[in-house]
Amino acid sequence: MKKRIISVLSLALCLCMLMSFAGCGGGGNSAGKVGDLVLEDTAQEKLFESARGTTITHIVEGEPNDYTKTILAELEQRYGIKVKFMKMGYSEYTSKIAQMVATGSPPDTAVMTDALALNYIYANIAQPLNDYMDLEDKYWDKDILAQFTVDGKIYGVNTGDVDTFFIYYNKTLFEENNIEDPYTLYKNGEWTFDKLREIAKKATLYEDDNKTVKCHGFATWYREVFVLANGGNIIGLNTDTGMYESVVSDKKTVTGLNMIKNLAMDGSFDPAIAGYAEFPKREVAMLCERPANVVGNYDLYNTMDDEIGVVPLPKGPDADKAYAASNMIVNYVPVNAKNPVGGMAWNYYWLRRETEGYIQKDAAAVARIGKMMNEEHYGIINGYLDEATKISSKLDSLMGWSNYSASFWGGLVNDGKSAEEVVATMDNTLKSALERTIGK
Amino acid sequence: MKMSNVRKRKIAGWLFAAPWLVGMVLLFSQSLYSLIRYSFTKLTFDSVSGYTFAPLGNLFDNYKEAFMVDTIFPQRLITSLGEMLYRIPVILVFSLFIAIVLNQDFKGRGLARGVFFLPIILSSGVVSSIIKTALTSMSLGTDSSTNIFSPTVLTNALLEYGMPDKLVYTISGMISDVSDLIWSSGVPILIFLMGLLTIPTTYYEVAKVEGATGWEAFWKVTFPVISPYILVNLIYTCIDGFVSFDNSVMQYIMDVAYDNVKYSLSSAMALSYFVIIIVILVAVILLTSLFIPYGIKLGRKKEGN
Repeated sequence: MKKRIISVLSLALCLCMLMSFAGCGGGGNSAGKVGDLVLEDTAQEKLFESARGTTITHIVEGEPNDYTKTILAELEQRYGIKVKFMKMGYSEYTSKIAQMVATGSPPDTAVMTDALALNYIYANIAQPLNDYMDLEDKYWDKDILAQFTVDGKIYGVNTGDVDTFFIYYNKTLFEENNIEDPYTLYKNGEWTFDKLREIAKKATLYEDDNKTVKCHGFATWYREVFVLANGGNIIGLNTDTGMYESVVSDKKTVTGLNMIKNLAMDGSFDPAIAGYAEFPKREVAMLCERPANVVGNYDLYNTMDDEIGVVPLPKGPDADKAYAASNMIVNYVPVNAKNPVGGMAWNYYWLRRETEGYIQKDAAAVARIGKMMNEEHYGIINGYLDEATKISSKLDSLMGWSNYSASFWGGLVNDGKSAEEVVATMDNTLKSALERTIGK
Repeated sequence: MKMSNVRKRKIAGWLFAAPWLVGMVLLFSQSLYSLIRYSFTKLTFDSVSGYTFAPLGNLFDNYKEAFMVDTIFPQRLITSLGEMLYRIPVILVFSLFIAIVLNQDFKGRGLARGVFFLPIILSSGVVSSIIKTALTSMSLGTDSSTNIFSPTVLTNALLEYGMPDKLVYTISGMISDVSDLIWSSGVPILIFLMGLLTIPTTYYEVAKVEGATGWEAFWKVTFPVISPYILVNLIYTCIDGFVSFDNSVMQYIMDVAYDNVKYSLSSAMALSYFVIIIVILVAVILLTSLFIPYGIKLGRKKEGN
């Protein structure tokens, strides 16, 4: 009797299991097999139905690599969209995109950096993407979308890559000189602008003559980093008017500008030193850089004998929350693109694959990430990116900024002028450059 | 009817110039027309017709913006003209000196000529771009010792000795430009060498018999004969410098067009720059013609006689 009860119960359990498996296929979130992946259907994907059976054009610098080829095959399998590549280098692309838009032959998707954003948005090169987007979709990064939104219209979408600045420090050097560990300070909530300044001073080491610097405490090439970390910006979008305006005299901006100026005046930061070459040689103790450069271009993890530490930038004293100072590259759809829906399908599928970590199935990518950093650092970076609000600057897209920047930053970090003084002299120039850029 | 020699030479001249003239009419005139049109209108992009030309409130609005609103364009124009003032004499003197050296009879002359003509051979787009990128990365190299043209040490030393800042920075600027100057001297060297080869050796023999020193022979024989080539080189160097992609005015015009997507403004800048270059070239030709005994003029005089 007991055996019979057990067998009946087992059968019932098996039936339940089978039924639950069968139920998976007909639920709200159905799964579709693509290549060796199983992807949930999303509401966003339904917007791509009209592009089935079409072809899109996409710019690529050289031959598509294996990873791209995999995505191509999967895109065709899942959405029925084929991709035709336009091969051209970045400078060729930037010099031709306006002509392509004018003659109705642009690619269906292309890249836009912070440095091109205002120009492409206001010159009608990039088109609003709202109609092709389910804004509730979890893969769209709301912070990044916000940075490319003007007057409620979204002009660029995230690609899966975010270049946020972190501070890499020479842990061995810090230990040798009994300097507090920045990451421990960060964990304890003691990592502030003032603390960073104090540590940069301690980490600035001198030769025996006590005059010649042999190691600068801090280095970066990106001088707006503290402005952004403080939640400020030099030009920013006024959400009430929907217009960009100069916010250089805001308190948050001025505090951030004074921070970089103070580091320079302390002697901890030499404006002539970008730091990537000096950091491995112990000539710089803290390097503020993006992980993609530290890993990809400079390969510091593999070339340094000293142990490296990583810590997010301190939250600025005026910031209401943590702001992750970033350089952003987004995908956009040019005006007059023949297949904007297909272009967005490519953007979405690429992003989804990157976000879900399927890239790690690609051998080259695994090697790249393996070299990238240890698990602890990977965790620190991702943990910070999850909680902080990503923010970027559009300053480089201002007309003539490459020319003005020398006097702007030079006044601060070379001449030691206060941020208030520099801001007062540059405010009108910025306003004029902005007006000319956005054509108002 | 038999054609006269003069007529034949005229026809030959037109035939030689024909490819350039045809190219000019077919290709350049269309671009020039577009440039002029862009500069007097406001070119905007849209999703209906691709682009439209909106009339300007004032026909010269783009020109006003280029010269009166934009602070960078006039400033770069002045800087670029200033740079040309010292670059052109340096390139001409250096090229003439090298051409004279290469014209001497010495072992390995072929190799030496090859080295100095490399910039001409390598000045095709891709190769030139690769080499210039390599030079740039060298000058931005991680190790400053890899930059052979880095004048930092000299600059610091001169400043420490109390030399005026402006003089020191002019000198260091020239040193930094050494690679560029050598690069720009390939064609002028070739032209000078061609001029030197046209001088009959008998001229020097006569000068020697008359008791002229080498220095005197240079000023009395070499210089007058090659002076027309100086004019040719002067014009070539001016144009080469003004329209080079490295020229800061050219860079800015391209930035305004490609990065800032302001084609109308960029066209106004380009057209103004074009006119300025033409004016400078005409002035240079008129001025130098006063001092240079140009061959054709002498020939015409003879014909008239």
